[in-house]
Amino acid sequence: MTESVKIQLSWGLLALAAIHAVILGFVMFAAHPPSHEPLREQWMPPQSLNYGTSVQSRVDRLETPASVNLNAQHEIKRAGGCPTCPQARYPSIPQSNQPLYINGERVVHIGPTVPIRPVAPAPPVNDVIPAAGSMTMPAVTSVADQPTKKKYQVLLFLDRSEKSIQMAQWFTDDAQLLQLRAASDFQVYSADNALYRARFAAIVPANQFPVILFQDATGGHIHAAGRNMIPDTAAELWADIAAGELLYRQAKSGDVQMSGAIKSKGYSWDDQISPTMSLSSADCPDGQCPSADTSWRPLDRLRPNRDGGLFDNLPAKAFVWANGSELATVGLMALAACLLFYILMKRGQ
Amino acid sequence: MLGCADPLSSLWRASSCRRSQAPVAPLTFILHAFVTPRMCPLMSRCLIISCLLLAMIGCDSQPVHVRALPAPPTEQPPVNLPASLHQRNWVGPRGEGSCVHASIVNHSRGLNLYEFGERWRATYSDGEYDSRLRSRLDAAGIDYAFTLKADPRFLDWCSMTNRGAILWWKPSHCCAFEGWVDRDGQQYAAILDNNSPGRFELTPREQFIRLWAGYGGFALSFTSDPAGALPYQSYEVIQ
Repeated sequence: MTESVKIQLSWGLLALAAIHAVILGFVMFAAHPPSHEPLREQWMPPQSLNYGTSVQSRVDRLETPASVNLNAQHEIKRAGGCPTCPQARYPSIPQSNQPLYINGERVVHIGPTVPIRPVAPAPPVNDVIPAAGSMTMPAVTSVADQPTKKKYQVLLFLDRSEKSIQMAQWFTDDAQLLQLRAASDFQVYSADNALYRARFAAIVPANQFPVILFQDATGGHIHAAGRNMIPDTAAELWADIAAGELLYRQAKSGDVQMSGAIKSKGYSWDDQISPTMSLSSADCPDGQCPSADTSWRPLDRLRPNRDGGLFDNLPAKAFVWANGSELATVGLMALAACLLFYILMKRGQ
Repeated sequence: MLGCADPLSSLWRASSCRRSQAPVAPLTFILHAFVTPRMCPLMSRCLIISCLLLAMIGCDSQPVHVRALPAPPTEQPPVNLPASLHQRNWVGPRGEGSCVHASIVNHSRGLNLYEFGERWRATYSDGEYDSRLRSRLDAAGIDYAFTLKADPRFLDWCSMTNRGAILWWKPSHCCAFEGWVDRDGQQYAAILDNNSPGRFELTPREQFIRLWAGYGGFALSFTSDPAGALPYQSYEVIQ
């Protein structure tokens, strides 16, 4: 066997790998054409916010005392000093035995020694309204502990639908969602909630209910899903949230790709993929657009989150932090190199 | 290994019928490697593994690219209770102002405890003092934290966790603390005075702490979860 033929064999193997890669590229391009379909009408958080702030610009200057005034600390605070204010008198507790109702709720008479029994609103027949503040969900904070600032927030916007009731139940029954709830600031809103009407109604319209918002402490969305995007099981919802958290971290780290023996799952933003966009300075506040993370280096990878173990149960126990294609390519190159080396050694003999 | 000392030669021998012809294309050797029974087992294994590796290349799903979107400015004050929900002070049956209870109502509304605030408003009125306030909150089953020493770290916690607080402020008066506001490099306390609803009053931090001590230094905050920040889209998926 001539040496040239032997060497051709090895080069042929490498040529086969290159042809295979090129063919795969064409196949993937053909299988994933750019989407020209118009975006479906689905809710997503806005990209900018307009706060209705009423912070007064004038700064008050008052007199400066020296130390804690203990006399003032324990005195009765009863300042009503607003001569122009209306003399509003709210209904007092009636002396008769007739119960007092306010807005359809029965008010229990409270005296100095009778404990308050919060009265839950009576649900309509065949209906359960998860009204904000009246849901009997188990408390997750200790009385003695002063809770620290939490990294995440979970907001549920619910109506009377079965899906709403089911989703509310998931955060009580499912272990992972319960753990998520304990690690987050958790709130439930309904369409008739006063705070919802005043703050969230313009952002989360009631016709999108039920909506789940998983966001960071500043309101930056991590996972948002409304109505039809709510999955059928708690496990799927958790998987969606975990996938959203992965994309969130990927975006915050400058689109560093996740790699390794991890199967990426579809997420609720699949149908929200927008056409390729580019940000100009006019699009960003003060003309400053976000730039990629400059600390990223080649071969850097996005590792699974170890943040308090909340998303630590992802199947991310890779021995080598490379995906299947990379491992196969490296293996093939190593094999070809070994064969070539063997041939050259034999040639030298 | 001696038997496989020259695996390529065995391949060449297998295709010896074509030896006299022009050099066979390298790819042909690979095909012959699978059909000749006399090929060295080691070489056959290597080629099988090579083909399996080739088949594995490109099996991963298409990577997803995302882009972070600019975040809006931080909302100020941290507890930005809408003006429509500001509770005004009222006069109770004994002719006293109900500033403490009005502050509790404002504080409750800022924590999305609207129904609780309504029940409190319907139940209590007139003047209040700190120990009776706490006993009433205990009776209502409300978890809270408080300070009696004008500890600024308490207010820092209330602001950082977006909870706010009620506190003794101004002579014989109680207001709601809605957090620290940063303006022009200085920090101010944002106060919601139930005698002047619809606006927040700002006081520089250092002066505020001293004044607060002079008014008794008491502050109280519920430990329930805050209402939640206004959501915005923080990233988008790009093709």
